[in-house]
Amino acid sequence: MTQWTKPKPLQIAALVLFSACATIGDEAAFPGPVESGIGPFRPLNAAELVVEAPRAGQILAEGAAFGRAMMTEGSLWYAAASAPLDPLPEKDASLARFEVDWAQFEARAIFASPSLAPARYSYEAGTVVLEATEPWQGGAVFDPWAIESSDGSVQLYFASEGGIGVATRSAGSATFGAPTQILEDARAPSVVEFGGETLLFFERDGRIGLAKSTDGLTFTVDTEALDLGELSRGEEDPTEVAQRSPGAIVVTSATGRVSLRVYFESRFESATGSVSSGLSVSGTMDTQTYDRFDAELFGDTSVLGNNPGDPAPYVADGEATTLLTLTRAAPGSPQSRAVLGAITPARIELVPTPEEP
Amino acid sequence: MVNRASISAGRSLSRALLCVLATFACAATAYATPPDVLGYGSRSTSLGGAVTASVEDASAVYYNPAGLARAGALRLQVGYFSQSPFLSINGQQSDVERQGGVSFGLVAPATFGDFRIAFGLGLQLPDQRVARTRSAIVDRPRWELYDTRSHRLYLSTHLAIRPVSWLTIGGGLVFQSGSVLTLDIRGDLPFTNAEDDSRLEHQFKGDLRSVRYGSLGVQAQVHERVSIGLVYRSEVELGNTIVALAAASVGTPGTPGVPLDLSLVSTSTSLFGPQQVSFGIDLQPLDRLNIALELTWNDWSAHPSLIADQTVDLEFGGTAAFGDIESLPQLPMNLHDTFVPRIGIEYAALQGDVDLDIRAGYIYENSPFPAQAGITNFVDNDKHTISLGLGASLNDLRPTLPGALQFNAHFAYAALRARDHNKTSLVDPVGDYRSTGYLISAGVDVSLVFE
Repeated sequence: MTQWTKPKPLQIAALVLFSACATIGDEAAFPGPVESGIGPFRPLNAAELVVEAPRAGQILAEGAAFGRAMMTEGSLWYAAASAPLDPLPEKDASLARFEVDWAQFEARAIFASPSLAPARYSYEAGTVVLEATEPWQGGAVFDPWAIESSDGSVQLYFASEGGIGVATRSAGSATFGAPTQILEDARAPSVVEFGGETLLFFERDGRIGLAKSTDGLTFTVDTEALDLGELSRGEEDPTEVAQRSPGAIVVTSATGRVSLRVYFESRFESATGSVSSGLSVSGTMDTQTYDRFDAELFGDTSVLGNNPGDPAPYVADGEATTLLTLTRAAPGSPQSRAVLGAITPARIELVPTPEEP
Repeated sequence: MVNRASISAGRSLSRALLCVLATFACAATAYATPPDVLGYGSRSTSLGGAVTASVEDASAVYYNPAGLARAGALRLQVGYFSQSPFLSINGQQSDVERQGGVSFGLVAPATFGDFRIAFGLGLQLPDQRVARTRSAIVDRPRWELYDTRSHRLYLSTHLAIRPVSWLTIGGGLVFQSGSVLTLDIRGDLPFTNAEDDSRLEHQFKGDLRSVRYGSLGVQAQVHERVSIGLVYRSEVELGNTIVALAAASVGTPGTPGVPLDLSLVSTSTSLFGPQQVSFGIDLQPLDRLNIALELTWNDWSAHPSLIADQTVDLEFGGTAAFGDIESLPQLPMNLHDTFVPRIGIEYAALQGDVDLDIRAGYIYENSPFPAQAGITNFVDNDKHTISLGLGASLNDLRPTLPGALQFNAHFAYAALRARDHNKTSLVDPVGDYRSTGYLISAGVDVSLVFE
């Protein structure tokens, strides 16, 4: 018969001790990043795009001279001139090397393009949604900024030779109504709802200004030239001489604070007179005082090539990411620009899921 | 130990520069003693650590060395403890490691008439690693007081005396471990045929160092049902220095080389524990009921900056290669002192040949760290801890054991109050974040008490 003996106290203690010693430590990773989504950006990669893009981040196939582009849910709105004039006029010598001389092209119009499923941020060539029809537009419309309402209607803000205008498309309608001029002698509208008001950021004489409205149609200039902050510059660095093409978004932080970010194009001039451009961003909670992001917006600037411009941000709902469309110089004659897409945080991948048959 | 290695000129220079750049934005880690985080001994931990006035087992080496001379019995104690953190930032788990280990304790008294003297020894041995030094990117939020805080060996030795029947006094030294790293590279780097003709030597040294600090305590039985206690633990700080020196001659074989000199010195604090003063009172309103109250002051405002101070010099041919290389400023931590209240309750449910005690405790610890509104991201939250415990004592074990065998177990749940960190700069790349979480800990220990 088996006899059980009571374990002695020292045996119990030894069992506890050896059991404890059986655990072995694992290597733990460093804590993961927490990011605000302001930058730095990386271009969308080939896996995230379906457009055959020879350049990193190209979201729209080449075939036209592109102006500013911006995203809304499921669509890309952009300005383009379909073809250069023949014979080609001489380029305006006062323009920078990387700037497009639109006088060399047919009149610009505004296009809209749906995304190429399953990729959310690749786009095919769009269709014209707005052309110049009014005398004050001067024969061309460009710099689109679309606001889509929950009822399906769209307010399309745009620039023309006569200033900034707006056209409205009702829900279910295929065309926009007659445009209205809202601000003279201004370019590059960017419109957001913030603090119970409709804010219109615009470009005028190389500075970015702010106008406000309560109905989105009638605006009053609040500030002609905003102080968006300064970059830290060395003595040998080019001087910032102009701020252009604002793109504004409203963001809500992880703790619920709501703020406004204004992305814009900076123009620099060196001591030798050489002009270049870069992208910047400033933040504000009251539209009067701004903090400027004093670092590179792109982790690897080489993928952008030279002289990026026309930044237009878009917050991807539910993904805590910010997308940015921008243009950059593209090779060819006459000088033209390509439309790129970029994303932050860079670790997020937007690889499309194949559609189910 | 010195090694000779053939390294290409390009790779060697890149490594040196990467070494420089990698330290630009590094922050050291704050540490305190492991018992501050995990407790020491299941009985004391289950009472919320409110034992300064009454502790008399081996955990007195941490809570109040005066308690070593209180009981008068030879005691051997061994136990195991573990704490699992579930901490998150913006709803994402922070992957802070579980901490645990084995604890040992010894109380050896000797009585000469009414005079008693006692020696105490305490050891906490982590079950994962003996020591860890970690520097992280300064703009990456991390749980400053929980990330590797207790991954180090803890050893304490104390003496206590009981000059009169109602008074005990004790003191001693505590040892903590930390590490120091140095790297030295010297030699020649030819422009051509670097892989075959390079003559580089490097030496690497890593030391596991110890730092000592003191504690001093007193207990007084002012009434048959009232005991008071006071303990002081001194501040502990261990500096960490990383030195990288590269001295090479770059050129072509057969011609005088151009000197390349790199000097990087990074100093930081790798270990810091604030000085502490605890005052406690133990009341016995009923024969079977003890209630302990305690308040601890922690001198966190003396905490040094956690941003490493770096000095970098890179010269090529005797000329500074990149001009002034700025390191991060030594930002003040702005920590504030804390006052930590504790309460412990113990009820003797059974008494006789077998004793059974039921215990409970509560601690409120407000965080010494301010909300992280600047470029630093040292995350910490206010914490409420509830602990429960059981103790069983087998008192009549003769002839097997001339004394008693005691078993203790504890369980604790600590809830971290959610905290928002709103950045002053609206363009901060980290942005606002919310930290929250909880900690679960448990442990057991066994004691042999020889009468």
